[in-house]
Amino acid sequence: MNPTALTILIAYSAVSVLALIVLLWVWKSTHSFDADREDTADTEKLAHGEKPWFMFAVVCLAILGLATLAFIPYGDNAAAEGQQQVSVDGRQFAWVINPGTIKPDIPVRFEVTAADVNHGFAVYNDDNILLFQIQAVPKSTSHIVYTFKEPGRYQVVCLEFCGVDHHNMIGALQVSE
Amino acid sequence: MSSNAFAGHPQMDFPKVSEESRGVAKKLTLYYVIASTAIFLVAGLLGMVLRQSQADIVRLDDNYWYAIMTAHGLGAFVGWAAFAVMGFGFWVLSEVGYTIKRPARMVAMVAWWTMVLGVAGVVVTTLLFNFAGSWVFLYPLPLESAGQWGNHVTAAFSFSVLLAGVSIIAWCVSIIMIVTGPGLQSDKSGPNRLGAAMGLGILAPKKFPTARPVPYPVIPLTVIAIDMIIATLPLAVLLVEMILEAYIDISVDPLLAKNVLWFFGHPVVYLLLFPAVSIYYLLVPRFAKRPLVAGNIIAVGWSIAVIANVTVWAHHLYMDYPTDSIQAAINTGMEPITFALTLVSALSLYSLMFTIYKSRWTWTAGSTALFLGLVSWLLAGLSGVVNATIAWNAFVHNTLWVVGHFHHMALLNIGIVIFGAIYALLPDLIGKKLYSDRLGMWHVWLTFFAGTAFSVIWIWQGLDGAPRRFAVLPSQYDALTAASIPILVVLAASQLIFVFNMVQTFRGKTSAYTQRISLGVSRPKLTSPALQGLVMTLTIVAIAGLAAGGWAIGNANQDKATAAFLPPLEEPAPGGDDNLAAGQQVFVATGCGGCHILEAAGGAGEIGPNLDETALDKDGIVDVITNGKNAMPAFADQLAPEQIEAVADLILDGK
Repeated sequence: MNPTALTILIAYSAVSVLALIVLLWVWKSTHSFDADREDTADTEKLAHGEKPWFMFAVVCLAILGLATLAFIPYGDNAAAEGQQQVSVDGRQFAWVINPGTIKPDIPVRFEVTAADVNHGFAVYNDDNILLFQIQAVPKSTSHIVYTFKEPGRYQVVCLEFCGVDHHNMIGALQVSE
Repeated sequence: MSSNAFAGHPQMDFPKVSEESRGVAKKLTLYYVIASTAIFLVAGLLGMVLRQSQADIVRLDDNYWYAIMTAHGLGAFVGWAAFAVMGFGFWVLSEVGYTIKRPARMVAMVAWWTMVLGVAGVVVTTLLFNFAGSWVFLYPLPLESAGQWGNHVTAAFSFSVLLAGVSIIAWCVSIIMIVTGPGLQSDKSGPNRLGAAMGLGILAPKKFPTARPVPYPVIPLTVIAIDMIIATLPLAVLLVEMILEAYIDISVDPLLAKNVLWFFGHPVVYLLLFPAVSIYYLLVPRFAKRPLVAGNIIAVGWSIAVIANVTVWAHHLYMDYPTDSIQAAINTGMEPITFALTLVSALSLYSLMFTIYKSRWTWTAGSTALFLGLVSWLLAGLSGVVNATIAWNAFVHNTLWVVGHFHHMALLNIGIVIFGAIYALLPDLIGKKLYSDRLGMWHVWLTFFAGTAFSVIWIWQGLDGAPRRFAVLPSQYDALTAASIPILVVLAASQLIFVFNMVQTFRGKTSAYTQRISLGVSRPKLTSPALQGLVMTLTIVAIAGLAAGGWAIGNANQDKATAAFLPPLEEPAPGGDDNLAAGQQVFVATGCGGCHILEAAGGAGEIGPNLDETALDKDGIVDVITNGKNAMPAFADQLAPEQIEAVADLILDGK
């Protein structure tokens, strides 16, 4: 599993478990063997709790937004000295990648477009771990920079539905010294 | 039904509308709910067919799989979930004292007919005429079918979706007519009434005065009615363009079209959620026998919603950032707005949970469904926060994670609310008792557990990199796909319980158990937390066991050697031909197998000619690869002449 995906798995599981505990507690609070009991909860007071809860949600989301800001993949895709240039053209149902063989440890700047419909240019390593993805949009050109560390075969997968043979639109990249 | 303790309470004791107006609301709601439930059963069946095909039980033809995917998506999302909650909107408004007058009723019937016709058109163009552009019909794919369907079919499909769009707009108009009508009890006119119906009077009572406070259930319906008109109109223009482009030579920029699609595509999610919230606002206080726990901040929340809902679409385009466009800036700006929108959910969840907390809550099939819907709302909302975070989205975008997320939301939050509303309101709507509340309980609990497990499998596969919208998933995902099949059977079986319960209810039957209760024989103490907890635990264990069994079978059948997107690289046999091995490597790396069958290199595509049966000689093959032919691109720039020759040798060797 990709390390970011693993982070998501852990974070999502942990928060979900917390949420389920709260929900079970609410569920349990309504059960009583005394069918005629009075409702003694102070709903006014409960309603006042809304503001701290609102602030809590704002703070949590702000932390998440700021903590992940640096990892937004938009910033670092400009052309720079010494990069390898690779052009990627998605078309129903093949990837035209030029050149198809690249060197490790030197940043690769992919120039991605599509000839017909939208495609999704995604690169997985040979162990099926997703490394990065970007949409290939007709009439537009996008750039993404990635540095391959390990030599070997990498799998190029289409991640935007593009028609009948979408699932067969698989290509390869060769990374070798 | 309002309890005496709250007689005169503005959020518990609503003025009664006339019997005639009540009759109008009943009829409209039943029309919508019955039609949408029929669509649910068909769309659900189509969904089952898709998943079993991925599990290789009865494998469908590739294009037909995508055609069914198109029908399932639009059918379940718009034809079922949206259509059903749209219908309940009329009943909710009637219950809180809003009269449905003749013009609003007629517009509501236009909405019903256009939705039914639109969904029928989608079903016909996909299942009979092979339209398979997916339910988001991402431009220009509908017009680039790779020979699978013609442009007439694209035009007919686009027209059908346009009808559904007209239906949504008509429904919004009808809702706005009702909420700004006499039920509002305002002596202002025009936009001021709309502001009042949106709940602005809670914040500014002098500016938006009404003789009674606006009932909470009215607010989400007003908000979504405003937003869906704004969101649907540009899509309607795009659909008209697609119809025209089927016949004349015009085009749109694909990136612009994508923005237009999602400008509609995000709010349409809330066309499901917001009316569901209004159902919650009506029913949760009834079951809890106390008013909604809410302060003025609820109006702040909904004021954020009305704007944020139509300014977050780009979070569906996080992986689109062409270099010379402003898309990256739009995407980055819409991340915090999306976060702001989740605050509305956070506030609503708080209100609803604390309305239930320590209340004398009645646990019936209906109220249980509403509670379980809240559980899914929270859990699916949290997975939505992952999607909303750009840096995380990069690793889940267009994977099965997203499929897990929205089934968790659409089926297990909205869908379960729909079931809850049916169980809670149908007796009033048709004047007959529910056949069996206990069967209803089994239905909602089983749907919840099986549906959640089903979604969790997708979420897991997505985190593992499994792409969504793959008719055939590569074999590394087989074991988990197999695990979902027994759960799917449980999920389907529990819907049969629902169907049986509904049929009996409409026939006027009541189960022996229901009769005993109505005779005043007290309900046995089967609702203690301990006993319910035990049954829940056993159900969870049983479902986990079934999933584990499915996983074990899938895992045993998996061919580990081919567990990848690409076929395995074969080492050249000792003394074998290096040239053929090179040809195979080039064939695989260049993606030739996406379009061509070639057994020697694992090619399985059926778009281009079958290379195992080619009639060309070596020069002919080299010429086509080098210079291209028809749809086939030229590879002269990409491949060296000796690489092309190696591929030609490989093709001829296999013959």
